[in-house]
Amino acid sequence: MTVPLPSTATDREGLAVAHRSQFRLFVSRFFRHRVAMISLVILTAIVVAALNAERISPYPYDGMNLPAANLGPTVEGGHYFGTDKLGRDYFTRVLYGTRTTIFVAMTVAVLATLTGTLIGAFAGYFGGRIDNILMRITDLVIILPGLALLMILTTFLGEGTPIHVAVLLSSLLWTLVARIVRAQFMSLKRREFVEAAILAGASPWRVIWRHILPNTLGPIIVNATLTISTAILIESALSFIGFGVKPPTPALGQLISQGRGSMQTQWWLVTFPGLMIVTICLTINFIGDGLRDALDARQAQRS
Amino acid sequence: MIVSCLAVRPWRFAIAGALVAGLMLASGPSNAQDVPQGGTMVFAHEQEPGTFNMFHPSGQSGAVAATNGLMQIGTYRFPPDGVPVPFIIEKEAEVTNDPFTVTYTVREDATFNDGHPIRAEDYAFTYETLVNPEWTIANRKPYDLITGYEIIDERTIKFSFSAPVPSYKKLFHIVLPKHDLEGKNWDTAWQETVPVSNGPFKMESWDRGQQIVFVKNENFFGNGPNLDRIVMRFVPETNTLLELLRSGEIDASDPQPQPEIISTVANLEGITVDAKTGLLNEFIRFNFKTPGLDKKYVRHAIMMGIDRQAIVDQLMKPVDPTATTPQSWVFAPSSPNYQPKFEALGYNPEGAIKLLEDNGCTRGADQIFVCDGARLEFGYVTTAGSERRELTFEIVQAYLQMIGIQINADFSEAAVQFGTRGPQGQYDLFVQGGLYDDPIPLMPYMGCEGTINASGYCNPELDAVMNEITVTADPVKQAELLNRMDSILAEDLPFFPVFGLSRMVVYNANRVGGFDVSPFTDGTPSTGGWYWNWNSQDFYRVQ
Amino acid sequence: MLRFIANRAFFSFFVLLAATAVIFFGISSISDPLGELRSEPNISPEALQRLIDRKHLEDPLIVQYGYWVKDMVTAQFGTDLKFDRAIWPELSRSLVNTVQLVILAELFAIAMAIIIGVLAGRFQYSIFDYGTTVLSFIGYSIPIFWFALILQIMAVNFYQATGIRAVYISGLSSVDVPSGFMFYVDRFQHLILPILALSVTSIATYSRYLRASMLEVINSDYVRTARAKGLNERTVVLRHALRNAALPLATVVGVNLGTVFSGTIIIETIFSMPGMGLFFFNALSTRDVYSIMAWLMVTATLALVFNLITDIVYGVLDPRIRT
Repeated sequence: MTVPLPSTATDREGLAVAHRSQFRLFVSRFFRHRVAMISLVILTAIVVAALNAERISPYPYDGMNLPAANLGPTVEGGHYFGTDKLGRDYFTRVLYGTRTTIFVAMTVAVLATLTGTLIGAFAGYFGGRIDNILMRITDLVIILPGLALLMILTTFLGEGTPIHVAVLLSSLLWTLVARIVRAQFMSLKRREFVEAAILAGASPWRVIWRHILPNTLGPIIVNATLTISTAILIESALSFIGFGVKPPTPALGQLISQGRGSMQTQWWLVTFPGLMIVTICLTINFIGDGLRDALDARQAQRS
Repeated sequence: MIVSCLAVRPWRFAIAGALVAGLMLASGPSNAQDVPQGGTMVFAHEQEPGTFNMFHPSGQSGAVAATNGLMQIGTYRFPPDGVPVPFIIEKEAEVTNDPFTVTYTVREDATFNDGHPIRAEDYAFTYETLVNPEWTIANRKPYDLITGYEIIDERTIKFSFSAPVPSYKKLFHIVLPKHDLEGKNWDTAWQETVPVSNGPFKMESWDRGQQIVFVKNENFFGNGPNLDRIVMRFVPETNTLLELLRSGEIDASDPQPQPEIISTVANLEGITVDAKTGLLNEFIRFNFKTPGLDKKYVRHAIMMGIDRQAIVDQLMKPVDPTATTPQSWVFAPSSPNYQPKFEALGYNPEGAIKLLEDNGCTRGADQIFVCDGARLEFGYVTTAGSERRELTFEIVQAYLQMIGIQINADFSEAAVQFGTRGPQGQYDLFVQGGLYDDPIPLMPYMGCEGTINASGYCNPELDAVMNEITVTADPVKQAELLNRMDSILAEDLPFFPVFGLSRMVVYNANRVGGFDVSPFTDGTPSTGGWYWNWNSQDFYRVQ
Repeated sequence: MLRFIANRAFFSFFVLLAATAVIFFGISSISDPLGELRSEPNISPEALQRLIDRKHLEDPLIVQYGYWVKDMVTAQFGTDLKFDRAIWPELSRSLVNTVQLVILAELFAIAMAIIIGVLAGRFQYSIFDYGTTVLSFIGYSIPIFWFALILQIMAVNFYQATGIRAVYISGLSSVDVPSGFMFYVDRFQHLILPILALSVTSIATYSRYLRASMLEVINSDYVRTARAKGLNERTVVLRHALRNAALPLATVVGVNLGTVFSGTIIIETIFSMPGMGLFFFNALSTRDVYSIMAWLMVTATLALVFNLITDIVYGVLDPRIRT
């Protein structure tokens, strides 16, 4: 994937001007991608609902109500997703679980992207020995099964808090971003404007930060979005088998795990959290796809 | 027809199923003609055994109890009514006090599965094996109290003890075959297979990871067995287990009594649940070294803040209608010596709050009490991965929240929980199952000089009572002392029982039958943890 | 050519060596086998000392590393931590079972991906294309464990409705294992649901990749040449386009292998299959560091070997890569 660059000089203003119009183009292409737009709307609705769970739902998260246990989804009484074994409103629990999941996923996205970008940038820019070492480390992380490593880390180090889980997940998922960033940096390094900047006496830091990095933002963002989706799936798998977020902090994978024994008779316990996971990941993937298309289209326009 | 009619009302269905099974059993195996002969039963268990050596540390799992229960038969058996019945021995063991001795007389017709008779020398051999320092034995008690034995004649042997063993009927629940094991390395002899045993079934093959096949012991000296074969399949996932029952790939299983199983299974056609609550209780232990828990009124308040009856109603009653809140540590409600010592601290949230306030506790801004500088916030240590335990935690947490005490989850793997955290006192509240009608197992935990007393609890009066129990063989005096011990425990409250644990078997009544769960074991193979397979010779296949 | 193979092989060996160090020191830094042994109530002091000596647990870490590597090479990973039982017999048996599953699942995924990718690439923007795109996205977004549970329920409902036992929902074989041809049929009936569950993400990934790859290739010069030469569409697509599009797939499959092995942990638990996933789960539950390390080494070796093979095959078929 090549990124188009202004063929004229490194004039700061010139760069800024070209940048703005590119960005505008990017945004408008994205908005035209219908599926991505719809996904964005749905996702925003879910996130807003999850963050405002207290205000939306009349029931508390751990409101035990034994007489009302094991009810299916009903309209009266407001148990839209039914209740669980202890009579707790399931809609509330799914919302809170979504909140934890989103929190973990966003944290992972940020941490993993930062780490991956840093490492990828160093490897791609400096090349040679550094690149070799960093890439071999990346390879090692990739060939070991991620879930297994996470389970090991959780067993010996884990606390089961969302932050902890997020940090552990980031320590594995940075590799996705690193590879992309490295490839970008390696190809961009050879561009004329970079050479020109170096000749003009710019320090490596300035070159990376001012010149190369802005042009890699596109792929970085696309990959960050996809990292969120991967993080959600891995986190829910971990909580499902009991190695992720520990109770009583809610998590969607945990809810599925708790409900799977009575799947036959209380289908809502497993269905709703699962649907929530699928919906969130689906919307994120569509948005990521939209972003990628918008990026590509911008390049197609220029070339 | 009856089945589908009853399936609409799950409770009645379960009770009816149990009644029918009970009736069938009442007609007894002696009317063998009434019970269909032959056939195979496929039984699913959650874990695979690592070894069959039930005395080795690695052989303490439920899987070892499940498999050995089919292959072994013991000196006494423990039916559901709680009255032990002699089996290998031809009559009750003769007991003398002062000094304490037990004399066994083996049945004339008792044999191992290779036809070799069971004799006094096998008892002697079993004892020698258990106390041999060369072998790795998980728990030599109380066999290490044996000072010597005397073989009176070929079938009679008398053991002398240095101290009375009130639960002597649980001894020799396994009798090892001397003619087969003499000279062999006991640590490894029964690691892969058990060639010679004395129970209704013997091991035929082990398809690792998949199943073990047991076949009928033609030389079994008791009644039956009715079945030709029992195939034990390993299914680690509870949900899969239920699916397999539904699909007919398995006929029966002994799952952990998780709440969701009950509600699912109660609605499945043809699936019967046989569950009984026995002497085992789930209880909560306090760490006296935690600030706040060292105060008796805090402990009392905690107990008063939890509605134990509601827990029983919600988690246990659906499967076992006879489940009750345990109020005594030492006797079951059915026992004539039962005295509900723990009843005084029943559910009373207002009383709990008042108790705390009367003792000078004040509520913080977050509604959590602070007593004498100690904030009432505690960690709750229990086994991870257990649905029932997690549910219990959430219930306890909710109740205690209402009286201003905060509980935080602290789950560990069973190996860590019981291996490290318990013995080393790394807990505030510790949750586990157990029953102590025999203070000897209790002393290491509760005695002032207890070797694994990590909780810091110490009451010289309790120590005195426990010591006296160990030297009293008279059952009447003993019951009195046990109740006195219970009183002290109910007052000091180093722990309290939350609810009774039930044991259960789930099976397809259209295919198999003969189950009669007996909850009188603690589940450990080294002390006889057979609860569903104590009467395996009575199992049959519906033809 | 040979130098290329030797080069890659030597390099992989080096990575493997590095992996042993990473695995050993990594696990050692976060676990404490000595402490755990000491706090195990069921082990007698003599047995404890025996285990300590056997595993050299009181020696410095680097010495332990040496012994562990030696055990790995000469004694097939030696014995486990607490009970001194040999690790390899169960590990190798589990390995065979899992490899069956993984190979079948990946072959299935690749086959499906080729079909979908080729057709979607050929008929871009058709209903088929859009449909499979949506399905791929769902495939990316669905949690494996959830999908597996649903498959199980559907299978059992089917059985209850029709009485026909089409598939099994647990284990590798039935209670009474049939012989001859029926053995394979029975095995297949047991494996089909786990394969479906395991391959859904792979199918989504590979088919998207192949489709994109096909689209790129189909508009390239040499394909245009082939068309111009008068070859029929099918030959063009299958012989020329597909070959070039499929090759890079090998790398993707290699990278994906770690994910697939992670998937087996969950699938094997849900379907009670006695494979590597279940082995790992049990080893972790009992905190048996030696079994865990053995498992990691075997998995890493498999991934490395597979990547090595694909690199070589790729190198053989595409001379450009050999530089």
